[in-house]
Amino acid sequence: MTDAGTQADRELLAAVASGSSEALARLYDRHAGTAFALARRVVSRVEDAEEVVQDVFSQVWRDAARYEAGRATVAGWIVMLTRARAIDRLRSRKARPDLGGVSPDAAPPLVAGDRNPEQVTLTAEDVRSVRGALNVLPDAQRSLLELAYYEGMTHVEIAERTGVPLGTVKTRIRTAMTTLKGVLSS
Amino acid sequence: MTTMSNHEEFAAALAGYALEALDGAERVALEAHLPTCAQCQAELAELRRVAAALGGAVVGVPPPPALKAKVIAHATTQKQAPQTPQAGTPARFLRRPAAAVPTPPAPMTPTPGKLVRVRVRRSRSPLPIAASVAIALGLGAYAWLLRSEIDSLRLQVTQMSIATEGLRKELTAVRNDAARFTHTAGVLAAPVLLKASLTGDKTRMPRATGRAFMNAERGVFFHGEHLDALPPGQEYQLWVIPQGEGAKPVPFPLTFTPDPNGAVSVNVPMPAAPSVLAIAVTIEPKGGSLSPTTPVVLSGAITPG
Repeated sequence: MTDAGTQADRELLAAVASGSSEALARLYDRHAGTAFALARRVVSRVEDAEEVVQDVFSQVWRDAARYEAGRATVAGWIVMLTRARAIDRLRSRKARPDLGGVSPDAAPPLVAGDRNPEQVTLTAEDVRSVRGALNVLPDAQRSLLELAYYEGMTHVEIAERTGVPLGTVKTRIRTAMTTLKGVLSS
Repeated sequence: MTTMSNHEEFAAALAGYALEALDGAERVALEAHLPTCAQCQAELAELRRVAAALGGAVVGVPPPPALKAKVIAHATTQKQAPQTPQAGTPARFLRRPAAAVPTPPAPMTPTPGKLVRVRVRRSRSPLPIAASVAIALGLGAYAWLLRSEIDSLRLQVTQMSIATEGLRKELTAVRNDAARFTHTAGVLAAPVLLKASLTGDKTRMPRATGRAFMNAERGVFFHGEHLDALPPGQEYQLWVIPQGEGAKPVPFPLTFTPDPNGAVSVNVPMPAAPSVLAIAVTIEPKGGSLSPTTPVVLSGAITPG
């Protein structure tokens, strides 16, 4: 995503917010490839990935007017939406309890604290840098990072699944993220 | 990590938070800290850049061409949200969804720059503008509430499926117990019932006692008490002692181990024996023997029921 691309995305999203289906189609052309690849990486089945993409662009359509650009990019929002929807689908398929160690009643409200994960920046340059750096991460770090990101597992779940001690799981994932952060341009 | 209390600890948890990999208490503690710490907020923004790039870094085959028309057709039938939900939204609608579904919470801000040239379809409404806006606002907020309600219900469904699984296991256990008791009752209610009161060998197991109820078709119910605990690799075995001098004992197809109090109740089919003079119990290697390998510890003669 170049800066021009980022700007074009914002303009398209503004048009989507005004009710333009053509603008949505153009956003689809620009981002469905990434969304579909990510969805398939998480849910595996093509049919599930297609439904994830449909859910994502439906939400883009519904919520376009609420999108606040700031430093964030539309691409970042779409990627984070895709991951969230894909992990939802993965969990519902596995009927895996996802109470995060607390009961739903104790869960924090959506509006609490700094929970705006859609406020992320994603540029083509970041993607290139991270893709390259992923290839040189030690396997022991990359595999745990992938369980967290692509399978939506928590530290505790990863420790249970892999048998790696919880403290080691946290350290390896933090180290991997720090390494990847280091390759992003400032 | 519920005891996170200083900046270093919170900073260490940020990578997990950016990946949504923190568990409940740790996440809650960090979320309480974040609004107070600009340093952590800046670090988190960078880590989220990494997370987004991880999503963008996946290489895969392109989506099927037919998907585009389907997605656009589906999406554009939905109501668009004109603004954020009202401040008075009931708290139960604000639960965190299963996978932290990002929903832009901020009001729309004017987007700078030239609008790309796309045709905007506007419906012509006979309603006054103010009324249209009010309806649209209401529908948008209502759609948002429904979405939140769905997320909340999804959590409830997950919880209920866990509870259902627990109940199913209990039901299976109860059914097994019921089948056992039904079998016992069937034996005891048999029209032709043989009984035996067993007593322990005076030197080997003087306190042991037992009762056996037998019917050729319905099997045997045996209850023993004060049986000694056995070393690993050994079990008790029941035998039919047939009538006749030197008749060979017939093994029951079952071995058993008493509970920690030395008691045991078992149902077992009747073995094919030419006749029944007495019932005996020996200690055998685990899995049982075809003929007794140790002296009898408990025995009793058959009496008609």
